[in-house]
Amino acid sequence: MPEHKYLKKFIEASPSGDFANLRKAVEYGRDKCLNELEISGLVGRGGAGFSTAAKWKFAWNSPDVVLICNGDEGEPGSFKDRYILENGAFLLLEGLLISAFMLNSSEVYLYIRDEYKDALEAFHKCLDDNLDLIVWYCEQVNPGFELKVVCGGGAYVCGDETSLINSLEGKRPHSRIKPPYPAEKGLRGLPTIVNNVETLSNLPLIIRDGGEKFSSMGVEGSRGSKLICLSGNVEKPGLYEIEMGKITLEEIIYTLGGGCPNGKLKFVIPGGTSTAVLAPDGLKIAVDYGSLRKAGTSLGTGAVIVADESVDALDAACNAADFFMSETCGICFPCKEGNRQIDHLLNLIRQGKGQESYLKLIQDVALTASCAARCGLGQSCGNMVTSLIDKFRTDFVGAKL
Amino acid sequence: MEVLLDKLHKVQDEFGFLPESEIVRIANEQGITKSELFGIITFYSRFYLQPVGKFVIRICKSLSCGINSAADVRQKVEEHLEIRNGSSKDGLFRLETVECLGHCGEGPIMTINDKIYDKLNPEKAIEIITSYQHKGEENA
Ligand SMILES: Cc1cc2nc3c(=O)[nH]c(=O)nc-3n(C[C@H](O)[C@H](O)[C@H](O)COP(=O)(O)O)c2cc1C
Ligand code: SF4
Ligand code: FES
Repeated sequence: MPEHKYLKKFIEASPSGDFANLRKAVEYGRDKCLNELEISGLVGRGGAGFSTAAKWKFAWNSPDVVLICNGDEGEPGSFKDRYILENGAFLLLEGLLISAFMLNSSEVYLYIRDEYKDALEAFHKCLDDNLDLIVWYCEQVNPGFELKVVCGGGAYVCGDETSLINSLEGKRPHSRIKPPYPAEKGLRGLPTIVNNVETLSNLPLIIRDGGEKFSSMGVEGSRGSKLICLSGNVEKPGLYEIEMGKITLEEIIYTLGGGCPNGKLKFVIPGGTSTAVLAPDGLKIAVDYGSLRKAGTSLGTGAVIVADESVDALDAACNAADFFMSETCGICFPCKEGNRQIDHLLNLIRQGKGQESYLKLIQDVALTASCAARCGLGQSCGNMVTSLIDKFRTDFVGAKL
Repeated sequence: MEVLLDKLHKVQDEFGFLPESEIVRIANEQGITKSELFGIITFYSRFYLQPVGKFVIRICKSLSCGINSAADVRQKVEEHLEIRNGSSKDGLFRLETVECLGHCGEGPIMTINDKIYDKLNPEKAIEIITSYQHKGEENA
């Protein structure tokens, strides 16, 4: 992927090479670091946008905290974590070491999806290149520290933190019931902190610049910058770094992305296939967690997928339904069977064998799945399909019903 | 700190799939039954219980690639190899359609033995696959 001029933070911060931020963190001590993290207002970049400091505080006084960095990135439309691993491995490594120091954690995992071979290689190279510093860290900063890089086996649901923990434990990797949350009881029953690759890559920057400066970027609830993965029918797809709350979705698509090359824009998915679509009249909206939530959708992983008028809403819905049907872990009946039914009904409509009542049925099934679901997959599986039905009903009713 | 996934990957890297004898061995090591381990293995999409083609072709079918006409690529490749989701008779190729491969800005995407091929169209995909066919025949 070509390096992009908008990737200021990650490119600039990466090549320092001497662990200056880690050294600074060690000088500060863990409590002052936590204070900076709190002031920074950092929230998780893996989809839910939960406060990182708040999560860490659950486990702050526990002696045996396990730290897991989630690099299982599988949300269709997302490629930011791969980019960081391939181009900013040092930043992530430094972030991991700072985090492990702060959490007093000597058992640390980086879980990377098996498909990301180049990312894996880049991270291993980074480890090799920095062996002396890691030895220093193990001897002086965090005795007993062990970092284990684990390759996934190919399952989207393993991105869910509780599935990921089951996967690491060698169990069938379906999600666990929460509570207890991992921060309380995770891997082998130990308090376990799971954070996204992009989240932890922000730690060196917070230590370097201070929480105050970090929080001067962005808006309430969405501090700092965010990586945006732009794809679909757009002139300049790729990865962009934005200041949250200070740019609209429209500007991302037109100013950064150059708009749709071959036709008019029809709809946009703001955060990956787990999020509800926005129609063209909904794009003048600031890109931050709060604004998108208010608009009934979500920033998710920051995977902005653009569809022009050549895209049939029914086809897009079928694509999403097929995804969730194949990726459900099957442990909650409404998610397992519901996704199958949604897929089945949509395909009947596509084949011209549908009835208009199916649309209501699909929405009911999606609602049931989301209410009964144990994890985020089932909770969000209907977002895209039902929003497409709401906004582009004619594509479903049209000639097909 | 060797986890189950490490063991499975190690065996698959060696044999190209997970032979039953190895599954039994690993199940014993893990202290679980063979059927339990079987249930775990089949949960994942990247482990195989039988030998598969020498070259594993995966074509992304998720939304961003779909919007960029991945279906056309897939159809042409299926016609060319005369297989749909499965292995070719000569054992050279296995074709799978898979979910997002994390290169959505450069789609349509195909991987062959995990090497990424991006910005595909049907012709380009066939050309790439043909070069592997030649490679396979040379080594045969
Ligand atoms: C089905 C499913 C898939 C997920 N996939 C990922 C993923 O690939 N990467 C990730 O960081 N978080 C993923 N998450 C969210 C994680 O459960 C978890 O919230 C996150 O890793 C926490 O990190 P953060 O607070 O830094 O965002 C997923 C959640 C669900 C329900
Ligand atoms: S909601 Fe779906 S994916 Fe999540 S645990 Fe239940 S069945 Fe599994
Ligand atoms: S949608 Fe095809 S690589 Fe992501």
